[in-house]
Amino acid sequence: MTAVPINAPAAVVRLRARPVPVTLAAQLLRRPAAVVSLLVLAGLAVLAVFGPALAPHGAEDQDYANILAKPIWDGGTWTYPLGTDELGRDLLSRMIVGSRTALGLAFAAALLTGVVGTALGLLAGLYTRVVGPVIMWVVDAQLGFPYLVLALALVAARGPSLSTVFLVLALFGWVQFARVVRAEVLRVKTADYVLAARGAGASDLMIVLRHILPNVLSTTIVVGTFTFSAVLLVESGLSFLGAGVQPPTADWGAMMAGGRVFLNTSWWYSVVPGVMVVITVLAVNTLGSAVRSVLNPREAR
Amino acid sequence: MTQALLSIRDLTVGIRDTTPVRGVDLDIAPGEIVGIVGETGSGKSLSALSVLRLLNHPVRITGGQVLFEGTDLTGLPERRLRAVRGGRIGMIFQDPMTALNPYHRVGDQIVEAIREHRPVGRAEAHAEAVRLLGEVGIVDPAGRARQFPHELSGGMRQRAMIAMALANRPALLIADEPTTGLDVTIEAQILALVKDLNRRHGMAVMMITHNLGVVAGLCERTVVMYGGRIVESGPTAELFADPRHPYTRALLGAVPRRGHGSRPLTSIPGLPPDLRAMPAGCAFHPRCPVAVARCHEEDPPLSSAGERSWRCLRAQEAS
Amino acid sequence: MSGRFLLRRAAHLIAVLFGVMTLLFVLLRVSGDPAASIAGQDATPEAVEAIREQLGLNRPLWAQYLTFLGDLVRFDFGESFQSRQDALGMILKQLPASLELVAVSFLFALLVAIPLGIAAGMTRNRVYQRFVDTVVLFGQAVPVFWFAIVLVFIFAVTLGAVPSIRTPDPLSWVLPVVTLALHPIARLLQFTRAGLAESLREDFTRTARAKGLGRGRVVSRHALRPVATSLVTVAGLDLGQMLSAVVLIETIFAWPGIGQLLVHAVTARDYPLVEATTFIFALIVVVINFVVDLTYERIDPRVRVH
Repeated sequence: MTAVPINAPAAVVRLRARPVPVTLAAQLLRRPAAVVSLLVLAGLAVLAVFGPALAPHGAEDQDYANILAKPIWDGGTWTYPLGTDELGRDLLSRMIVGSRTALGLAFAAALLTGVVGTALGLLAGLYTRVVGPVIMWVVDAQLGFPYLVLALALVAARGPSLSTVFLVLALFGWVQFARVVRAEVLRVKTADYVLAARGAGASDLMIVLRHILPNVLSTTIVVGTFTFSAVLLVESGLSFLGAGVQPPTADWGAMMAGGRVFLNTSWWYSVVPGVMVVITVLAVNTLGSAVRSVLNPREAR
Repeated sequence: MTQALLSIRDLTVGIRDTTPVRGVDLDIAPGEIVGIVGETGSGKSLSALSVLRLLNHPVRITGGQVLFEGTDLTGLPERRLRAVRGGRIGMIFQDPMTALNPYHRVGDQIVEAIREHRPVGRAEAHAEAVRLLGEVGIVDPAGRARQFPHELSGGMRQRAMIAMALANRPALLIADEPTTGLDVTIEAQILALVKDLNRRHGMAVMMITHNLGVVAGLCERTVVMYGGRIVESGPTAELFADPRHPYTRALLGAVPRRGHGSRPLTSIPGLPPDLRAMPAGCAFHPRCPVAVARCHEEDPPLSSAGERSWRCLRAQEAS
Repeated sequence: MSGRFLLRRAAHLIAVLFGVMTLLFVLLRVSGDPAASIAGQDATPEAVEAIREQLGLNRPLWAQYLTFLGDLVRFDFGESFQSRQDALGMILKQLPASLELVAVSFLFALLVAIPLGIAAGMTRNRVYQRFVDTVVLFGQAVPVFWFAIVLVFIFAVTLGAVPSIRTPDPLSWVLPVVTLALHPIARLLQFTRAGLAESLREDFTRTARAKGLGRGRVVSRHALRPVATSLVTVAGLDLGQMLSAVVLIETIFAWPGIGQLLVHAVTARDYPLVEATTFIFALIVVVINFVVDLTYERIDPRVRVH
């Protein structure tokens, strides 16, 4: 009988038969929560992309004959299913078009901060003598600080506009990416297979690209989803305060602010845009949680 | 024959749809030191934890009895079981760094053990804790009692844990791999301490370990476990001199064959069984050097002769 | 408690304060144009230039920065553009209202979330776990100002049970406190439950049970300790978040605090007021962090330097 060692090798190198995204997607689709979230997000994406085409009216068309019209469930007509605002603009259309602003900004910002934050995190993890601590110092400083305050200061400096809002949102999210990526890099850096690659003479860049990045990628996706929600909430808050997207552009946060005055007669004006935000955040967060538990299988509670 | 102090009968432990411990029978007489030997996954730790019902959901006892001083611990109401835990039965664990609470001082943890079982004042309990630390061989016990676990060395931590388990003069000490992870010299000291305590207080010991050396120096009787079952047991000296079960023989590195003398084995081929997919028949047969077709079909019963018992179809023929 | 540790932390936090204010300087002076905003939209280029000269904004950047730092250590932020009063003075007058609100809301959050979280960590009751899951999920998904609006609509407008803005009536505290506490409650609940559940599986918890301790003592004396340390960290971060939320809450409920002041200052491009308010916020954050560090050191003996 051939002798086989009793103990299997302790550290098993992570071999991937198929690329990460494929296995991830397959496992994700087995979870009902994730599937529902994806469907919801797909619907929202459609709204955002094709907004103006889908809206029954122009988001900025004013109809002075129908100011603050009632919605369907309160005696209104199908012309304005969700009623109108104080300038006679159709709320449903404004909501659909508003999704473009809110979701578009959040997505763009999340993407940008994802790239920048990941890059900085990689640097911080790889070069731990000076660059790393400096980056982390900035991260710590920003992490504890109430971001809305910083955002408002920036708006004060530049004046409210679309570009200002985007800048503000872009500065917000990189912190989480940098932190998480750096932690991953530190963890992977000392793994056996990285040391082996080093020993074989691979350059730093090679090691980063072939060994570190793929591992980091999965966590970045998770952070990305939660960053998206956080950015969306910041954006709504800014617009609500009047420091974000400016009228007459339709935006959920701005609509919530606009409707406040009419709370006792037309409560839906404020409430419904908020519901859209809640739905979006719930869907994104659920998806993020699902991705996270696929990546790190947790024990059943 | 005196009644056994501890008598485990047909103990079965399950977790969801696997059974990591199947039908374990074990007796420990008062003042006796018994060793339980096995690889990781053999079920030895789970068996030990079952005595005091320290299993965490979803692991649970699914059958059998644990009779201690005549009472079945498996059916005992929680309140009465707590009187036994730390009282009549003490238990120490493998890693004292994680087993001791890092947030409390060492002395306070021992005081807690004392005051849980005896109506004793704080000062008196503290004095007793210091005395116990001294008894287990810690230098400057008063000073050490005021320190936190991370300030003690590994050996000292284990001694402190022993002191804590002894606080109420238990009749039985269950030791779950207490020296795994300690330096060899420290290990020797701890084992000497256990032996000394057994001699002085007549305290029985159930020593769980995967190290045959530990068993050889300390235990009067040894039980060998594999795949959740006891595969051999008997007085240590006899077991070492004449192992019956192939697994024991392999562990001991000697394979006696009729007419061939001894041939040392350097390793046991294969891996311990996956508990979720146990092999049919004898659990050891896939790795057994003397397995035959029958071993694949039949689950060997436990055979005994005198104080020895073994669970092997081939061994019966050999003897 | 080690003096050296405290000194190091204090230095670190002052560095953070310094960093935030530098960032603020960069944001305001470099990417904004205070002179233009003071002069207003219809001002002539000469008028803007005159103001720029008057405020010293045409000096080299490093000179401006030095002046800025000099003023900073003397706590001199100048006068508000709008009201011509001392900026810092205005803020200090309205600060107590914000601090009270945040403090009360935070305490409320602790009192609600921690017992519920402990219970959740100890039980396997499915219904209760689902309930906690829901609170955790929604609490973090809901925009705080929207939640405020909904509550105002239900309880103030429709039911008339509580006032919708701040009044001398103590009932007017109910809605602001509840809305401000929502997010912290969700987070604290999540972390308490997870922390306790994990802690109950630790080795030292098993040792405690092996000593014969009952459930209550096992949890209170052993399992809760590590949870406390992570909760302190979470609580610190949450307080920082609450400072963001309070800006929104004060706006909705007309609460006379520094959040509302900041919003007005931003809308009016009142730079001195914005700078001063940001500074105060940064100071509060620094103090919170410092207290968190102190508490941490008290709770976790492994952190203490000997």
